[in-house]
Amino acid sequence: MRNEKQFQGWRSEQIVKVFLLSSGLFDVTESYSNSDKGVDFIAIYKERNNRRFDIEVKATKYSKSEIQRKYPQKKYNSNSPTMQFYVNYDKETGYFRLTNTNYTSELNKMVRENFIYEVKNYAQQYL
Amino acid sequence: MTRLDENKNISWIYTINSAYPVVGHNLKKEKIKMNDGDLSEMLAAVFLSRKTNQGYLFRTVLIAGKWPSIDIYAEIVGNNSPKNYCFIQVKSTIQGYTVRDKKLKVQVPKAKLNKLAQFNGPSYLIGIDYVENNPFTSIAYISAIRGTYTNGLSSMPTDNILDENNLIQLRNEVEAFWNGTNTFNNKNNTISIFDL
Repeated sequence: MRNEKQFQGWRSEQIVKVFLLSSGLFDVTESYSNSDKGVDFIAIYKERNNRRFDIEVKATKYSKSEIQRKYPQKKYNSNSPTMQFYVNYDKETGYFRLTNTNYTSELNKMVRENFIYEVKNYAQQYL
Repeated sequence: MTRLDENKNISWIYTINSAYPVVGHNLKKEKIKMNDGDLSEMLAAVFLSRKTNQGYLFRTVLIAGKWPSIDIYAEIVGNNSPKNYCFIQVKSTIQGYTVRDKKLKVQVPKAKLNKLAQFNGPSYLIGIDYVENNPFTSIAYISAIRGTYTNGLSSMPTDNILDENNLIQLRNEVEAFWNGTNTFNNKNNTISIFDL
């Protein structure tokens, strides 16, 4: 397929949307304003005044250590916290990290309990 | 749909059941599309787009609440023309199966079944036995919806799991449907006053 990479990127985003919605913590948006370059979509955190999280999704089959090496933590100037997802689009698994201008979490497995714990912990400290 | 309160830098997000403010950002151009109610459709879209030994077969668009009876438009992936497609209704449950027949406990009213059957294209029901802790391990089933229904569906047969083999079968079935319709001939041989 000519656009296989594009398809894998699209599928990875669908997987992350299911993951976010199934956590019960977020609603997600499908589109965003032009000022949100680099953001794939937006999640709305329902428990804290509906605060917004920027979502970045990378379709990759890298292991955890490879992700850490190839996608090092970077600082964001955005006012919104960012969630980075690294998704194995065929296995429907992956890793995530939470980041803002002052903080970057560890790279965590995309497991519901881990995710809920990390987000609530983050919300307590920063939202 | 969003409404911007410009004085307070608050956007109002409207979902199917509620409206709420989002603080701190101008969301003027954003459109809220998905909440918990859309999870099943999104999960079905993930299942339909799974890779098979013949590659990825379906790409989908969620219609969800925007149109009655149809939740997903699914198009066969590929560079070939014509673009063949089908319509899908999704139901999910955490209640499992009936004791007697081992059918999935999802319900579809008669009117909805008939409406879905009346679409001029292949139409299907996907039922999902939803696993809360890890939705990707949920099991999905598929049934064709066609003909006329005199009763609603009180539970769904579980003969056809939406697995790799049945994804290929589904693709073949949808292609066979459209190959038999001579759609392009009809399209090219009928008159349009709007031709370029």
